[in-house]
Amino acid sequence: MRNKTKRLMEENNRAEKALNPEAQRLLTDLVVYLRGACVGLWEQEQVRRDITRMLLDAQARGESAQSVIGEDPKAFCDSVLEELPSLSRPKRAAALVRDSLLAALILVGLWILFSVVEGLLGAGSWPGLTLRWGQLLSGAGILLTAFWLVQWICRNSFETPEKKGPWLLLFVVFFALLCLGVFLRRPLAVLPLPAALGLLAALFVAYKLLDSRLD
Amino acid sequence: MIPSQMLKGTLEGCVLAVLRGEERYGYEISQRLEKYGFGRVPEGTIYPLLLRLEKRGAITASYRASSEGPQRKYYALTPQGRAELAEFMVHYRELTRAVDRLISETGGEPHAE
Repeated sequence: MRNKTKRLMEENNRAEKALNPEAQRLLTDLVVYLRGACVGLWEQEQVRRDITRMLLDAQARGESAQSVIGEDPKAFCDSVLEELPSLSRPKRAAALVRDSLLAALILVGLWILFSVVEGLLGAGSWPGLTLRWGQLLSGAGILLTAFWLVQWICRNSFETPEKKGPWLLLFVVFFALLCLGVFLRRPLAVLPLPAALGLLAALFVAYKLLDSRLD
Repeated sequence: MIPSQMLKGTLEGCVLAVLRGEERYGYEISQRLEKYGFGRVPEGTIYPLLLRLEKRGAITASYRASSEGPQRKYYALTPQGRAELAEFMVHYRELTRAVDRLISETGGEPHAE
């Protein structure tokens, strides 16, 4: 994330705190919906700044947030999104790679941590770290499911709490992935600890490099 | 109250007209429209339209401090916006003339029965 976007995001986070709970709830729904759109984060934050100021102004006048946005917040967001430039395909792909790198960074970090603990307890192939097929497949599955879940939440940010989410399906999928990770123990590769840490560092550097050029 | 579908095609031109005299912020524009008889037009209806006009270069926006709360985004007409407003007025006159003529030549305003 570029510095100017980061600064604007921090400014918006601070401004949002001055809103009353009703306005904060509405703003959160609006922002979550915008996050799921193919629009740059800089543009999203600019819109967020404008809306936050409109809501703060309305609050100072004693008006509700709904009176500012109107009866249909989703239609409001759609009409705003129509006016914002869509991210190009290469930028969308780069953002996906960036997010995947961050997720991979966390998963590899967890794998190293668990493998070291396993090694210290006398199991595994210490001082080498064993990557198992189950771990790789469950990691990839968790990553895909998480991406899908984020998209689902963004698309449904205006749905009433009564609408049933895919929580049972998610529970089943996560349980299945967990079982895959635990029980599919066939080794795929054994990495020395320094190589695993090098992989972690490489993922971190790649993520940081890409992130500084996006949004 | 003017139906929103009918308002859609003309609201852009009306916002340009509201900005003709001086810079205004979203709520002020909404208030002005209400004063002219447009009924209640929430800022949420005007905001996307202002984004579009800004993107097209018909208006510019700048933030200014306000005594009552946060900074406000003020909008001002650009030379292109003035040209668009002039064009809107010509087209709007054409439309109203045509509709007026159609109504009078087809028997005037129907009375509710």
